[in-house]
This record gives sequence, C-alpha cells and structure tokens, in this order.
Amino acid sequence: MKLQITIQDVSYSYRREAGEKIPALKGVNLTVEQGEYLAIIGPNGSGKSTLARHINALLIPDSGNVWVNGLNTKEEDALWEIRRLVGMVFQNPDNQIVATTVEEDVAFGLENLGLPAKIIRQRVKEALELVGLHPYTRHAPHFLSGGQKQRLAIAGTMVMKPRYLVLDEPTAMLDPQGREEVLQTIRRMNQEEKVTIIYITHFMEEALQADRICIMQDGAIYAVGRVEEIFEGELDLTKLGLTYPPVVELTRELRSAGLPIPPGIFRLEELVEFLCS
Amino acid sequence: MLIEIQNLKHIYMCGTPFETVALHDISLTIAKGEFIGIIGHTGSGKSTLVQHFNGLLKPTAGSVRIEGKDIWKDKIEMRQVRQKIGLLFQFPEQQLFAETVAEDVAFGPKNLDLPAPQIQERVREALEYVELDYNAIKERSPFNLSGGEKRRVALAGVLAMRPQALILDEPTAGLDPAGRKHLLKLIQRLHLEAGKTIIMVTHNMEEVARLASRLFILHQGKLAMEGNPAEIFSSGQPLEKLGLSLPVTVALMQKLKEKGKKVKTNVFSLEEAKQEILALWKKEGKL
Repeated sequence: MKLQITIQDVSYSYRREAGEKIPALKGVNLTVEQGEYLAIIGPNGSGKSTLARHINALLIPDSGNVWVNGLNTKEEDALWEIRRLVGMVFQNPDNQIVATTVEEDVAFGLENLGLPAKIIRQRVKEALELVGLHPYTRHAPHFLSGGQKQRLAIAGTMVMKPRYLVLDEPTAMLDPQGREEVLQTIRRMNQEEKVTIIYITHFMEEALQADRICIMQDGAIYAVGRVEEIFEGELDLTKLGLTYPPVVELTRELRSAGLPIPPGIFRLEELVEFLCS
Repeated sequence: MLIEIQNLKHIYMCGTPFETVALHDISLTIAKGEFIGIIGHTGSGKSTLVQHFNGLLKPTAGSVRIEGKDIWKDKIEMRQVRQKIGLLFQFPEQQLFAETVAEDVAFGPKNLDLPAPQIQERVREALEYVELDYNAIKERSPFNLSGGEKRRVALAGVLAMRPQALILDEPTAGLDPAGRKHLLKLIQRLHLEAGKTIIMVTHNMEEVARLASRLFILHQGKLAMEGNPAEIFSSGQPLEKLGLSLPVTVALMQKLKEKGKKVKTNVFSLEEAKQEILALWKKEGKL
C-alpha cells in the first residue's frame, strides 16, 4: 500500500437538469506524497475545487481513479476511512461551524465515531492546542474572528488525526492578520504534525510556502514543479490569467532592467538583503 | 457633501443578552467624486458602516445625512437614497436569481416603473460598463458564467440604477488574479470616466493604496485613522497594531530606508518601486 494520494486519469463533468454535461476535469494525473506541501493555483473555473472534492470522495470520478493510501474513492466501504484520512477546510468559515461552543464544534467528528467521552475530551483539547485556540474552549464560535474561525475548522479536522489536509482558498475572506494566522497554522501542521497539505489559493504569495506548485488550466494540469521551477522557469504565468507574487514580479522587472539579481529571490527580506549587499 | 455621518452608533440585538456594539461614535464625511477606501480587520465594523451609507441599517444613535438631508428624520424617500447610492455586497454573485442575464440586470430598473425601452437601454448601458457584450450575453443564464463574469453581472445590476455613488464590499474577494485586475480596472474607469463616487471596503492594502484618495481605518467599531494613503501607510507601527499590513511596496521601501538607503517610502505600485530601485542603483554607481 502506497502512502500517497494517486489521481489517475480522472475526468469529471457536472450535469445540468437538461442533461447537459459541463466538463470540469479532463484526464488529470497527479501524485501527492505523504508529508509534502502542495499548492494548487489556476484561474477561476480551472477545476481546482472539483479536484479537491475528489480527494475525500465528495465527488467520484466519471472515469479514472483516486486512491488515498491505497483506498479507492469509488469503494463505498472505504468512505469513512478516506474522509478520516483527508480533512477538508473550505473558503467560508461561517459555513463550517456546526455547534454553539468551540469545543463542541471540534468534537463533532469524534462524537460520530462513538468514542468514549474521556477520549473525545482529551483529543479535542489537543486539537485546540495545536491551532492555538485553547483559551477559547467554551466560547461561542460566531464571536471568533475570521482567522480564528478558520483555525477552528482546521482543529475540527485535526481531531480526526488525518494524514492529509485539503484547504480550498481558506484565506479568501480573511484580513491580513487572519491570513497570516492561518498560513502559520498550516505550516505547523505540515512541519510538526507531518500532515500532507494540499492548498488551493488565488494568492500567489501564499503558494511560495509550498514545496511544489501545481497549475491547473481548463480542467487539466498545466504544470507541476518546485517553487523556483514555476516562478523562475520558462512559463509565462500572466498568459494563464495568473500573476507572480509581488516580490517575484518586481524581481523579474528589475532583472530585465539590468540588475544582476540571482535566482531564488522570492521574499521581501531576500530582495532587501540583495539590494543592500 | 454627499454623505455626512455624525456620532453614529450601532448596536446589534439591542436590549438582549447578545447586545453587541458594532459602531461607536463615528463621524465622517464623503464628498461627491471621491474614491474612498475602508479598511480594518474582520469584525471591525466595515460592513455595518457602509450599510448606513444608504439607509439599510438604522442608527442606534447619531445621524446620517445624504446631500444635506437627514435620512431618518427629514421627509425623504428612502428609495431615492438607495437609488442614488448603490451597494454591491460581498460575493454578490450569490444573489443572482433570474433566468437570463438581461432579466437579472433589469430587476432594479423594473421596480422604478420605467417603460420597457428605457429599461432595456439601462441594461445595455450597465452591461457595457462592465465590459460584457450585451447581445452575446443577454439571453444566457447567469449561472453558467465564470466567477468573474458573474460578479460583473451583479455589478451591472447595481449600475442599472444609475447610482451616483457605488459602495463595493470586498469586490475582488475570491476572484483569480486576472479577474481581480479586470474588475479593479472597471472600478477605476467608473470613477474616472463616469465620475462616480467610489467607496470600497477591502482587505487588500495594495488595491486601496494605489486607487483610493482617502482611507478610513476602522478598529473595534471606532474610526481609528483617516487620511490619504501616504499619511496612513507612513505611520508604520500603529497600522500593525490594528491588525493590518503595509502594501508590499511600502514595506520594501521602509526596510531599505531602515538599512540606510535614501529612498522614498510612499511607493504604491510595482512600477514606482522599480523606478525607485533603479534610481538608487544608478546613484550608487552600480548600474
């Protein structure tokens, strides 16, 4: 059994009432190794969210296969285990809250497993500590800030001890501070808890945090590569309706104006250091 | 003055155990033709505030004046206020409802009891404003459009009322980079060419720094800062205490300055940043 997600030749179409088919994925192949941090970028409508929903069997491929640690998402018997292994966090924090206190919200998944109360309590406590929300255990979720709500959603998945976390634009509705909180939390889940991250975003600077970046275009994978391959390679992201992270764009412009900037400068601090050297 | 807010206070669920003070003693004015940016972290009261600008919420205390008239005390038609000041909510595409794009955009003008040809004229005009081809799109279902197109149809629905001022609540949230860029360009055109007053709520510091002429910063329901982008973003420290960040270009220039480089810090676009850095290198004899 391979400890990875294997997406093999997956195609999927949405169906309208009139029977009309709208293709969303067209023969996608992708492997995500356990422990890695993968960012998925691409224009609206390129199939990012549809692909994400295949990973924990919210959608089943029309053709092709998705395996999670050797379990095929088509097999109904494997559904519970797949959904435990793959946690999902969506864009809108308010749509993911199910309970009236923070701890009950996190406990929701475990309660459905019928575990003893003592164990549930222990794991909820651990999950809240992981995301730094333990001071808010008894609080009502709707009084939390946007960033805190998303961390709550992450705790609600982490409590199931997943191996994979799929996040679909989790910072789209957050302010800069909330974004930073969520990004840090995700980084920690990856580095300390060794959870595999699959992170969908429209913010190119957020993709810099990943090990690999996957670009989707028109229902297919257009390119996959390490950060430097994507942002400093031959590809012209602007032709795909994407942009470069601001610092990368500035670095590219400065380079073409004659500044001898070495490769591998993606972040503000790195550019400042070069300019002052 | 287009909008005058005085000592505005708003309390949600007033008189219940869940009472929350959302806005606390806010006074501000917005003149015709301005481009205003409203920033502040989640829960700071931005969306509550803008809903007072066209009378969607009633103040707990204080007054809201539109063109000199108190909209809650003087005898005025609220319909006219809302027609004058259009509001585009967050994720407005979730409010599309009609079977065709043309019907959806026509919903507002129809309620003005205009004759059919005039309604059609407004729909055409509004769709042209948002750069959608009227003939190509009018019969299509709004639900089969792309994310960026849907949002532009929603904006057209507000523009069809021919408002003087447009309030946009996080208009680019969730759009891809191309969609974001396109929408911002449209908004800028509505301001410069159509002369509309723009009030934009956003989390994106780069956007407001570049576009807005004046910024209001909300914090815990209070007006924490007010000024043009240069004034606001040169303040540095206080901004971070309010949970906000600097536009990346300003942050870069400030860091360079800290390291002893002679650069200006009021730099709000990548192009300006590039010119400033090139000038620095020339001055240092490196280029």
